Amino acid sequence: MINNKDHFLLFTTCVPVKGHESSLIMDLDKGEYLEIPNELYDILVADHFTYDIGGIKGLFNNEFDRGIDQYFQFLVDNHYGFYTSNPSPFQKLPMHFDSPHKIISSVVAINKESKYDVRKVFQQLDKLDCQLLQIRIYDNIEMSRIINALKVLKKSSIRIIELYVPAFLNLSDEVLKNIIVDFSRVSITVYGAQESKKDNLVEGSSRIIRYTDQKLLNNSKEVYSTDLFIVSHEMFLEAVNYNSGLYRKVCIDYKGNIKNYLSHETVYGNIEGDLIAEIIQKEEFKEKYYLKNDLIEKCKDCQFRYMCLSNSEIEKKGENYHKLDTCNYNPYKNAWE
Amino acid sequence: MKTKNNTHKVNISESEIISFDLYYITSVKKKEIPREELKVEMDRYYGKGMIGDFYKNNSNIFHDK
Repeated sequence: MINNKDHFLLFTTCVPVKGHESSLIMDLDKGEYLEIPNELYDILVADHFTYDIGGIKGLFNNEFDRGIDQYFQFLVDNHYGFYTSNPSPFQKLPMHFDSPHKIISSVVAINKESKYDVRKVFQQLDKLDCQLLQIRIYDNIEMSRIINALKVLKKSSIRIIELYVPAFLNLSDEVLKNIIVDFSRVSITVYGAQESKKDNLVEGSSRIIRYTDQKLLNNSKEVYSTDLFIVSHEMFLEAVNYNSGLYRKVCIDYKGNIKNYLSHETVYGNIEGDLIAEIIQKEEFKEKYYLKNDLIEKCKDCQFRYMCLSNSEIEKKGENYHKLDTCNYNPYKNAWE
Repeated sequence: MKTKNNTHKVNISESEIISFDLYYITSVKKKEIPREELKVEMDRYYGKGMIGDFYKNNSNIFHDK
């Protein structure tokens, strides 16, 4: 039996997020989310520190008393919240986000026309403490060039190096195996393969080589799907404060142009004549860092805005920002189209 | 916290603000490791291993269900 004198609080790491038609609670500890109606969102964001459950019911003119009892009990049973007679010791989640990495992620594209020195790019990214590096190889290029360049990252602080190679390069299992054995932070995806599968080439190791039948082209677009949503503390806090795709990201296209992302048109410099460290200090380069989903039309009305990763170019029309590559989710109908 | 019962076992001055056990472990039992040895040990693991998790992806360009 619910005591109206108690207060109901969500756990600090369970954060309600409102969308146009539907809302959700992001459980940052468990990495899950629970879809809830907008009416419940309004009840959950009322001042539960000041008002006890009876007071909250009064705020809604006692119209939803039964529903409030049932939902609160459901949330308590499913570990999203709790009852307390004294809410004062419990605090709200600090919303600050900062990162020690000057560059968090980077994508480097290479094709047969690429003339720039890949080693120098990797060295610069390492100095900037880049954490995620994706190397996209588009054409039939000499793999030894990449392997030699990777050697400069042997003792780097880069966490994950994703190497995307086309199946038409016909790299043997032996070559692929040698790469992942020699470079322990490299994961390989072979795209354009006959079938999608994962191969464990190294016995006794969890390291795998991923094959996908999907193609990768210069103009390939990003995929948006509920399975790609990320519910975590860092992702949430980054998305609340910044553009989680573009924040501290720098990309080098196949011509050596320095951009926010490969598919963007704006070029801020070229790796042949400019230093990445200098380019990323430019205010116009950093402008995209701050265009978070809360500021972008459609995204700002979507309940998934703090878990969705997008590197899309953003354009300003009048006073409003729009993403050029957008997803198929319609927050105004709460439906994927 | 003062742990009076144990103070007689070792002849050390006890700080009022540091618990006995903490002081004993960090100061009395402390094992000095030469810096050079430490460096060799660190080099052994430096850059090794795949830390395959990060809080976000770089880009969602492929999606195998």
